[in-house]
Amino acid sequence: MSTVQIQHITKAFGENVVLREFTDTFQDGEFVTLLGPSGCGKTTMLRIIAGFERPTRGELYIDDQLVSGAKTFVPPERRNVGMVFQSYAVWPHMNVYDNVAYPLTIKRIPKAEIAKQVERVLSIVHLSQYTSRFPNQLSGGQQQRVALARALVAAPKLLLLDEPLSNLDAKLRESMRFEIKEIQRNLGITVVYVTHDQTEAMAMSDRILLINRGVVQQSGSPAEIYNRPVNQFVADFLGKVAFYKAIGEDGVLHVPEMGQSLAYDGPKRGKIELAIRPENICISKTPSPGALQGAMEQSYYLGDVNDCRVRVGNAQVRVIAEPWTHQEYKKGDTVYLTPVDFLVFDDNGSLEEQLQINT
Amino acid sequence: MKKLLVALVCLMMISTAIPALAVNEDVSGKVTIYTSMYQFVIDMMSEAVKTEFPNLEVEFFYGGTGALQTKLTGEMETGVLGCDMMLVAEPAYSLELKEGGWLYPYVIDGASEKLRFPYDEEGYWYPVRVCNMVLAYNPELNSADTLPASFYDFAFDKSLKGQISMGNPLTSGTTMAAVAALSDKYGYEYFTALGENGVMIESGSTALAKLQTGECKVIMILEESVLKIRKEEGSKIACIYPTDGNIMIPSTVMTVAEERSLNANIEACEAITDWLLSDAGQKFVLEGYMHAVAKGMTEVPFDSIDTDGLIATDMGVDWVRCYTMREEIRTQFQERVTQ
Amino acid sequence: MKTAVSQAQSLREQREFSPMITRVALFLILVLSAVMIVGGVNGIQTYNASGYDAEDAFSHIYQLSRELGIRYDHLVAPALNGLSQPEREALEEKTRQLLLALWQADDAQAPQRLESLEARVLDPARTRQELLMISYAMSGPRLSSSIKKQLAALPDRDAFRQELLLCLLEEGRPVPEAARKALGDLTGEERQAMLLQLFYSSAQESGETVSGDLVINLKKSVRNPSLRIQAYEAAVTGQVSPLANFIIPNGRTIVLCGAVLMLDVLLLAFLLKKEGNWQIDFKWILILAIIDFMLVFQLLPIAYLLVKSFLPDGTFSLETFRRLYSYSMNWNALKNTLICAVATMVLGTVIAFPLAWLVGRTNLYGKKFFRSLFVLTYMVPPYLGAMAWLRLLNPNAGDINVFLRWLLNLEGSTGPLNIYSLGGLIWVLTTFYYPYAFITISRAMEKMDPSLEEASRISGASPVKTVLKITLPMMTPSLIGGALLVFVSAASCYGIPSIIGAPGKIHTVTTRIIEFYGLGTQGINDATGLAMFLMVMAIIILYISDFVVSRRQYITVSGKSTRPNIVDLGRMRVPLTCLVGLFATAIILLPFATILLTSFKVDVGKGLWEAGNFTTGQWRLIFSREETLECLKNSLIFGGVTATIGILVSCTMSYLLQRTRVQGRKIPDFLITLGSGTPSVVIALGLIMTMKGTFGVNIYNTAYIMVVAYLIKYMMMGMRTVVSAMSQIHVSLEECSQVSGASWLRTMLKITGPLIFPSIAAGWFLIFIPSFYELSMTTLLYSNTTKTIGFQLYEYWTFTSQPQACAMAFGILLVVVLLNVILNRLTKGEFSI
Repeated sequence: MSTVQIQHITKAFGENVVLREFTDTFQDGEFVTLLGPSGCGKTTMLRIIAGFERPTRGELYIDDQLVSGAKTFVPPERRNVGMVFQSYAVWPHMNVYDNVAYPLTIKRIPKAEIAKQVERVLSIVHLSQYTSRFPNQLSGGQQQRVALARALVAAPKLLLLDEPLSNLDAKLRESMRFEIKEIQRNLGITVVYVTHDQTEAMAMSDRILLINRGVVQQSGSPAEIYNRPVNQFVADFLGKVAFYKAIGEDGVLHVPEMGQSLAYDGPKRGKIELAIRPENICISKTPSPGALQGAMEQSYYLGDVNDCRVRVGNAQVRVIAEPWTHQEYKKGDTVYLTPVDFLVFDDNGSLEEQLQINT
Repeated sequence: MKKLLVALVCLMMISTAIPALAVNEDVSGKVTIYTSMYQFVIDMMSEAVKTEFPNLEVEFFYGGTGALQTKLTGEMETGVLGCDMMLVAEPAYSLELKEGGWLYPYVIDGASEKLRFPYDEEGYWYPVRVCNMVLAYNPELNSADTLPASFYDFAFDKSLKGQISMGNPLTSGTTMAAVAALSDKYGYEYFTALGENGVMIESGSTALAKLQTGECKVIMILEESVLKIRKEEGSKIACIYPTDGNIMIPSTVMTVAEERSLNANIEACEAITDWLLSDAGQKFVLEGYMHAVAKGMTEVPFDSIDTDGLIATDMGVDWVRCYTMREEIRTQFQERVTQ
Repeated sequence: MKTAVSQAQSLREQREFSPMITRVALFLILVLSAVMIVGGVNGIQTYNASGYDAEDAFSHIYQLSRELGIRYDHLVAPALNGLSQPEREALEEKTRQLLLALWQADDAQAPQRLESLEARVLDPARTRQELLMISYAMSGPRLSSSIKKQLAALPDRDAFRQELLLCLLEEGRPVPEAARKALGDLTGEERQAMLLQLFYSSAQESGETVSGDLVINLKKSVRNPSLRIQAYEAAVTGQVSPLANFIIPNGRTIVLCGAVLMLDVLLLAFLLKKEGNWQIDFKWILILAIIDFMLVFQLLPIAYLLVKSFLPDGTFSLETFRRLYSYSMNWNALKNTLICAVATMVLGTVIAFPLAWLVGRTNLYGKKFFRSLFVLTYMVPPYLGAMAWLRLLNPNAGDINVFLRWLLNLEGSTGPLNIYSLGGLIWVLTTFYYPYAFITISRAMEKMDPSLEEASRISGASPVKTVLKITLPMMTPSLIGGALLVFVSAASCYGIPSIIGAPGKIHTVTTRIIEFYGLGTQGINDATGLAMFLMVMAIIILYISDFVVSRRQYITVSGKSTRPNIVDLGRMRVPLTCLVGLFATAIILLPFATILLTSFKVDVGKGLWEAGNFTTGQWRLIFSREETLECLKNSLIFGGVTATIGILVSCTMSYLLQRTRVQGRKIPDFLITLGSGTPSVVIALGLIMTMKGTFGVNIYNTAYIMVVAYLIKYMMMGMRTVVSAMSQIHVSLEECSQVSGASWLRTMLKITGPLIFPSIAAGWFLIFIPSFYELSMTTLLYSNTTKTIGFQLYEYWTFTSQPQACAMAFGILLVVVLLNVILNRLTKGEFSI
């Protein structure tokens, strides 16, 4: 259990600046996820924490101890962190037991103690009966669990995971998510998790750092980030969202594309961007004040939801509705949409420009 | 019938019958010669042969004695050799080939008047050039009076231990001849003495380099190697003509039996043999730092001494013994010297 | 509407043959091969028969002479110039009787045979005379050249001829003076024959004499099978059929091709059956072609030698071996070889591994420079390096010893280091052969997945520990591959033991083999017997290494592109760089500098800067000889061709070994390893004996035999490198390509090839270099048009001039380095050692 303090860490590879002034503190026992698209710098940050990269500028403290600074550098083997790699990195020439026991054998812990610890972690990951197998005799998921056990066996202060589930199939991925979360909660260990999969991040994290092009866009709990994104990039990255240009005026948002207006009592005036999440729209056949009127165009029945497309003016609005609406609302029906919640951003040009600016 | 058939079809042992005589301009066709003479001597001879026999195409093929003998052994397996003549190795090898039926007898009238070295009475081989096994030293590092003057001392003088060198009789025909002569004269105890004196067994070029650096004081080597380095590099390394006799080792010319040769051109081979033994051919032998075999020839190779004088002091090699007892001499040498 | 994918699919379906067609095709080919064998055997028999069958001997000489234009007129007419008609007829009659008598002396059936022959040809009278004349022309009595000269010098030949004529026609008449010597003691028919000979020989030259060329051509054509066959056929059947004409002289080749084809078909059938899939894919053809090549050019020569050693007189006997191996000197040689080879292997690998790691995975200073430097030693012929070390470490006057004595103030004039020892031998062998291990390991190390090492680091292991516990075990396949190369090279090396071992009376198997060769046939059997030891050793090592490697199959190159993690040496950076630099100096710079310096000296014993001892003469001499350029060109071509063929074969072989489950796929591997473990001289000798036409293939004295020799000896270098590389690639990479629709060949070219390209390049070079400067085999196999640079070097070396040889050797080194640089630039850095 330990804290991680990142102070103004910048990393450049030649001309290419990968991380800019990254500053944050991970609390003891926190599950922090570094989320972002490929190339955003999240893996680099993780490797800096691990000690495989040295930052160009900035300091890194683990448990209040400076491990990386201008004149200081603690190599990976002395940082006492556990790491799980994307490719598992399970050694093929050793069996499961030897793989997992490796960190302890390095520390020259007596054999009996090693056996105990290995037994412990293997039961945590549910691999107790595979001790004498070799990696080429295990499935992907099993290898991943070996890697996890190995990372945990020496009771590290910090656990780092680099996209560990991206090579697994969907179902396994889901179950592993919860397992890892469970383990973390039980052991109370601080976890830094890197992924590009936002569902994963949302499911597991205490806090998410959303990164784009080396800059942290927003740091917060899943709910915070999801519901209160600070910019359009964040809004767009998490969940589904649609953007419409609107003009704000005296309690009303005129949406030219839709040809209708929404009630609005927020502060912004003038040209703005309206962002609506499809699940935040109520759909009904009965009109209500302030509701948008439109016609049902398409609906996709997905078993647990009904994914609809409603034409409102020139815009096609996506609505996630209850499953029973599929039977009730047919194509061409007039429906009324009431946004339960929406986001409003300043209009600084096109969405692409917005996304670019937000770096 | 079979005999005549053999004579006619497969084994053209005797060839002749060209109504025109074989005069130089008419010597034609192709001849391939295997030889271990130096390349530069080959080059000179090539030119001369071309002038002498304008219609004849002669191809010299160079190889070390050992390499050529190996090559020939391989070719013998197939029944036909890759050459028509051989200028390689010493009489013991010629005896071996003669016994195997590989050679063609070319009787030269009056050979005994022409040659001052032994030759085969039946004409199967003649000496064409003579190597001379002597000792050598480096006067810039050691003076001659501190060094042995005889082959005997070479082996038995203990002060030379670890500082003497010689060739390998198992791979070098001339060294083989030399040790055969020495064992003949002094018995196999000579070999034991060599071994105890720590003699190094290596090639001539290595040995000469060791003389120059001073690693060795005295080496057993062919005179021609010393003469060559003296002339071409101005080296001061000099010969010691041993008081118990130098060892003259003729190198022979042999013609391959017609049906086993490459080009079946016996006429040309005979003509070339004649030329080699003539004054013109012998001149090139001298250029190659070897002694001439023609009687009455007084010229010597660069810096050497009178050939007839050397013949007088020659220890002499019993070629038959060298050939028939070769296995035993080799074994004795191996056991006493190199083990 | 068909989509592109389904169209491609159906096309492929159409191209696939049903199993039945394949089986029928194979059966037909089997039948064809059987026909070829039978036909070929028949041809051989006819060939032999036509050579020795007495019956039609004359007739085919006659035919041959017709071919060559030798006719009765040419042989006889000029000789009869100046004779009157009755004299001519009398002479002809005499001749006829004489010849027939000579013939009849050997064969009482002669007249009948002559008649039966005449019955078959057109012009009996003329034919008889022609036949007799031609046969006499080829076998008449010999005139010594002195007699010939005498005849040429005769002042009045015509008178002489008249005399002889009279002697011939009248018995008992005294012979002319000039003829007496020639006649000597001859009597009876022989005397008459000699007289006749003299008569013919004494003819003046005229425009139509038969030149010596024609008679020689006749003799040679009798040896020439094609012509002889033609003549035989013509005589027997009256006409020549083109098919028979082709089959009979080439009987052996046809049998060989037939046998090989039959083997191919059987093998293919067996393989396809095992696979359960009767599709003849391109890869099978390729594999079979390679197996055929190796069978004929590699197995055949070596098997021939082995058979000879096991059956020295036609009966199976272990006598040779018993004799050989009970001789203590041979045992010592065996022991020494083993010790040296094992020590070199261990030492070489122990040196190569940390060097490869330091140069490939850390932030050592000057990595690129060191990497190029370390592979330099194997670009020079080993015996030259041996000479350099001799100069440096001989106990009496070696430069290093002199220096050490001065430094440590030692007494005496020898030592402290003595190169003429087992240790000295091992040292020099190691400095020359460790690059094989270095190169193999380097390549593999670069391709390894770095996260495996990172996982170890994060688990708490220091970089050194990571290397020992993770990197090293994972590198085992390439370590073993490299070690094997070193072992086999060291064991079958001749140059170094002959220079360093022999003076110190240390014998190895290779030096003993050479010593046996001067002893004729028995010597060859003995030598082969000894060589067998080396071959067996190479095979054993191969199997051990395969056994060990197969138990630990490591896939370390996965689909994710990786960047190797550089280990920071920290405080050790400078000290380690110094250490590596020191090592480089000791192993490489010292000997090379010695060679370079020597090349500028006149007198080897004197210092370079002593008066008059510096010269550029040697260098000028080399470049001024046009022969050198010719040799260089040859060497480049031979080396290049050998390397290219070798690497192609290696790739195919390693595919066979790694990606298929075919039974017997180890056999080509076995053959290749056998070849490299065989001493060069043995290979060359085997090739001379088997490739001169005995088995239908005659490539003697051509460039092909050189390439074949180099391939046999050096193919394993490339093979091991490629095999190690391929073993590290996950098969999924190739499977993915196949699923995408690529054929096997395309996958090889587009996927596997580029991935293992660095190893392919390294393997190419590993084959090219030794072929480039190869010496032992070249001296036995070269012809005047196929001289190589290695052979030139040998010439220089035996010319008793060390400086010349050194200049040449350094020149070779420069050429090779230049080549490396050029290829590196051309392939944009991909190609290099």
